[in-house]
Amino acid sequence: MDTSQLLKGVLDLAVLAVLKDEDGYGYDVLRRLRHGGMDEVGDASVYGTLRRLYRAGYLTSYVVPSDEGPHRKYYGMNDAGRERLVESEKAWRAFAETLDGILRKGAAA
Amino acid sequence: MSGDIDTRPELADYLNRVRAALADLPPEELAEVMEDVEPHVTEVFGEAESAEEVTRRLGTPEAYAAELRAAGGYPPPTAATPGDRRRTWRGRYVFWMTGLTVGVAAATGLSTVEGYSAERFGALVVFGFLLIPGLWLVFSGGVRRSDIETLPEYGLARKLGKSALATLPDKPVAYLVSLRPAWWLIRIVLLALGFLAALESRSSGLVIILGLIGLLVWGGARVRTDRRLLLVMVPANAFVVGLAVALASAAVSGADRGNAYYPTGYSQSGLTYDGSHLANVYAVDAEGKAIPEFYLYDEEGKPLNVYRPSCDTHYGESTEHRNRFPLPRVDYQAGVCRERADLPFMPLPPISGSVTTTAPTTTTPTGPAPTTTTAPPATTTPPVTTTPPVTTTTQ
Repeated sequence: MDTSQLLKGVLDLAVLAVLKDEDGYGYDVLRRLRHGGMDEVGDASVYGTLRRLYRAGYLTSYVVPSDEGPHRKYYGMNDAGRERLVESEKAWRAFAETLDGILRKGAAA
Repeated sequence: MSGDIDTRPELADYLNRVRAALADLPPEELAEVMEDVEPHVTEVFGEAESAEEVTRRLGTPEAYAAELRAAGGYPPPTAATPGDRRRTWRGRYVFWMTGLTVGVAAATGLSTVEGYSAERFGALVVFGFLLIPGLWLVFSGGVRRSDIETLPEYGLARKLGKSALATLPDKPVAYLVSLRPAWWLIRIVLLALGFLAALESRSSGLVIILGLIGLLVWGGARVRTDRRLLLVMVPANAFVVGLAVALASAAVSGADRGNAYYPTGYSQSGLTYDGSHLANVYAVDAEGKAIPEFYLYDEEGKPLNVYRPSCDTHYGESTEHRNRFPLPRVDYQAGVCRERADLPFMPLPPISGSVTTTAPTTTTPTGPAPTTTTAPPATTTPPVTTTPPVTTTTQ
């Protein structure tokens, strides 16, 4: 099944999660998500999500000059972002449990 | 930064199309988005074998932009509004004014080969003023980068420029590119030379050259991060290029000339006989009477123009009848300049003198003291002293 629709809703959470421990520029974030198994997430979606989270005030950004190629803009989490991550994680786990229960009941019936 | 962009036109094209598709975003936000997207797409292009592979991975530039727009929570693209159309016209003004100023600046730089008179800088000043509204539009956000980059004429100019670059030989171009770090210095040195030349001729153009030096020093580094400065930096550089060509050609012709007092062309030309230069030519009729005025032509009817000495203090000579002979002999007596047209010698009448007389008439002007060879009657004495000035002025 195409999981891209499912991914869309949880991309915020995933992006916040991979930035929790270490700042990263766009391609870093993309690589960490791929490495975590999110193969189907589109490149542009990740960049759009980064911008949206930044505009919402959950992320900070700073530019690091690069010797080769264009300079890189790094994103890092601020306190609002950390709070948001905790809330979202809670909501996700509750939601996943609920859905899990529904699916299990459906399978048992 | 630009290294990759120059070598991969597809990359620049991809980025431009993404930017164009997101052109309705607020300018600051678009700049932020592009700051993310540029390194990303650059990296993908670096990893991919071909442009097709990039498209397979990222989608078309428009699809990429649409995906980014959806994920970023930006409003859907708006259709062209009257505001956009106004923007397009403003962008057009900026683009054309910059382009025209570039042309005028290059022509002005080039025209300095003829001198540094203030009038030569008039057009550049006018276009400089016309560029000010453009600068204001660009710096106030009235015109965005995308407004200009989406203009069809911009795309055309870009394409033409690219294909023109491609026709240039690779090696000299690569060499010039390798000199890139020195360009800044070269430009300043060229302008300094122009400044000195303008100073020498006391032209008010030196104010403009001084201003351009200031502009290049100030904007040279900034323009790399602030592309809006291209509006003034490109014309400034065009002027330097024109000036460089003018200085180079002035150096070449200056070396040819050697003597700055004579306009080019006369010193090498002139009349010769048996390999030596003729200072003047005289003619007499069958009775030995001087012909006071005659005109020389070659076998094709072309006038044999030579430098015509005169008492005019500017060394300016009339452009007409430069093939009129004999040339006046310029003579200074008690500080007063006088032009003399009489014969400096007395020829024997060709008919009575048979063989010997023909030779003296032609050979006399070459020697500084021709009177001794002919010297028939006693009337020749006064003009003898006047021959040397003729030979020096005509060289």
